[in-house]
Amino acid sequence: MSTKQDSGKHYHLLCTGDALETVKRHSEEEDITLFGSCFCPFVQRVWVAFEYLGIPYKSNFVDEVDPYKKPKELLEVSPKGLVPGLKLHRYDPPRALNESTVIMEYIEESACLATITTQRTLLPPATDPYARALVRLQADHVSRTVVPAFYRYLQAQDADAQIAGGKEFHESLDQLVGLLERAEREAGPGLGDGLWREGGQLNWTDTLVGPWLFRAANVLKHYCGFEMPSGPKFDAWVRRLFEHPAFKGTCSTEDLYLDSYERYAYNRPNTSQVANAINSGRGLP
Amino acid sequence: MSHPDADIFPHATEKALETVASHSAPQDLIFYAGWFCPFVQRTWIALEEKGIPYQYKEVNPYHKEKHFLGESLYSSYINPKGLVPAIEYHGKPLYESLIICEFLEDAFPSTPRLLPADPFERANARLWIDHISKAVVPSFFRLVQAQDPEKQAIALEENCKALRALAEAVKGPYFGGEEWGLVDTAVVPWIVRDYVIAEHRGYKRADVGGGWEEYAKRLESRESVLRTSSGKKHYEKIYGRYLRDEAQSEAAKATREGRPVP
Repeated sequence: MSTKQDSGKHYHLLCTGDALETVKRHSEEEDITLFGSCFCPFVQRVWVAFEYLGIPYKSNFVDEVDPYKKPKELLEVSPKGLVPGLKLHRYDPPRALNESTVIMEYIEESACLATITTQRTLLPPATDPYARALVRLQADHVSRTVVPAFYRYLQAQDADAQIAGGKEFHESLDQLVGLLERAEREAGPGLGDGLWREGGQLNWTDTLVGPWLFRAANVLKHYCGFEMPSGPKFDAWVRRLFEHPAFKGTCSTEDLYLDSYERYAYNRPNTSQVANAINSGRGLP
Repeated sequence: MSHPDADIFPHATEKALETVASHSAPQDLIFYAGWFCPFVQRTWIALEEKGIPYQYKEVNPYHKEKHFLGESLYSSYINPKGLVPAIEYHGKPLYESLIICEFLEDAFPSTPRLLPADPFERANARLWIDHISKAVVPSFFRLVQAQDPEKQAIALEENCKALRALAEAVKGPYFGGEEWGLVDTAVVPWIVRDYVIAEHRGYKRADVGGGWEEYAKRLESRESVLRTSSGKKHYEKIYGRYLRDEAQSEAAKATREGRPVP
């Protein structure tokens, strides 16, 4: 296992690379303001959805981690002080939403009503309820199993916990693949079926799990010696996902993630509400 | 070794039994249920509210019958986790109580809607369903299963806080206003079971505040809730195990281990 020391690196406040270019393109006032932070995977889910669906937004990336620095405008939108948060200026007074999956469903549904979008969809249409349900099952597995397993693995400090964590995370990905295969078998090709199938489109599940796959490939690899599962289909899926313009445009350079996640890797106290929840054996906030 | 929860009383009783009896004919939709399970009751209520024809099949999840876990028409698993509720619609299997409810919304569009039409109101409903899943339900299980008086006190406070927040968001008479909805459906099974924490953990509806007591009373008297609730007699053996933290359900184990409830 790694014999690296905690070098006291801090989380970044500004995006870098492709993500920075995307932030610059979305700095004008719009109907919707997206509150986020540059390294947060929950934010990245929503960010990818905005980019893919082509919905106008203004990005407002803040320091949401330091409890003494949480901006008032973030707390107004998200009482728990968590990102992502949305401020909807078309209402008077403006309305707010939080929770990544809730936000994604909202913008997906609003996209059907809006005119300035790409006419794309992340979920299978309501005319295919079974395909939608299978995708929701995948999403449920990502949020309740894959994501917590990622943090447990990263935050594990002793060798036994690290080995167990790695195994658990691997298993969670195996199970996800099982669900992807099942949907491919039972729902067949169609709108919203995902990048798992060659020729498929970016979908709900890709967007929900992508940020953690990306961080597994750099952060888990660096701090835990994690090897991504490999196989022709899995490799092709991950490559299609990482190279997808909507996803790539929300990724910063590798150093940003390595720096920002060092505090998780050494399980520094009060790293974040997510880290605290994992440490205390609670569900994620 | 047989599972300790395997000797649960085998079927629904009282009003729920009547509902089971009137849903025994084969239908396009098969509903796999455990009469005692709060997660099952969510889906059961949704089926009743929407008036969807279904065939009720009692499954003891701790017996894990072969068809339930293994082969089915399309040689796919109805529910690899072996948990209830699950459905088979035209032979296609699905599980997870809330995912099934959303599926019923999509697949039966001409039945009463459980979610509002406006995207923002829908998002608001989903936020509060998320709150129920993350704060209300886990704190309920933690409170029931806590053995240490200090832990019980903490869990009771968390539970009340979670319920009060929900109560304050209620438009009235139901969560979304005049119509019964998915938020009401998602929380009511824990309302009808709150006598357990009232009798054994010092919980009082009146202590929650924010209009909770009135809201709870209104929800538990809904026809679909009454029709899917069994008599209290046979619950006692089940929740007794939870109170002693001996229960072996996936929800109980997850609570004990500090994991999300599956």
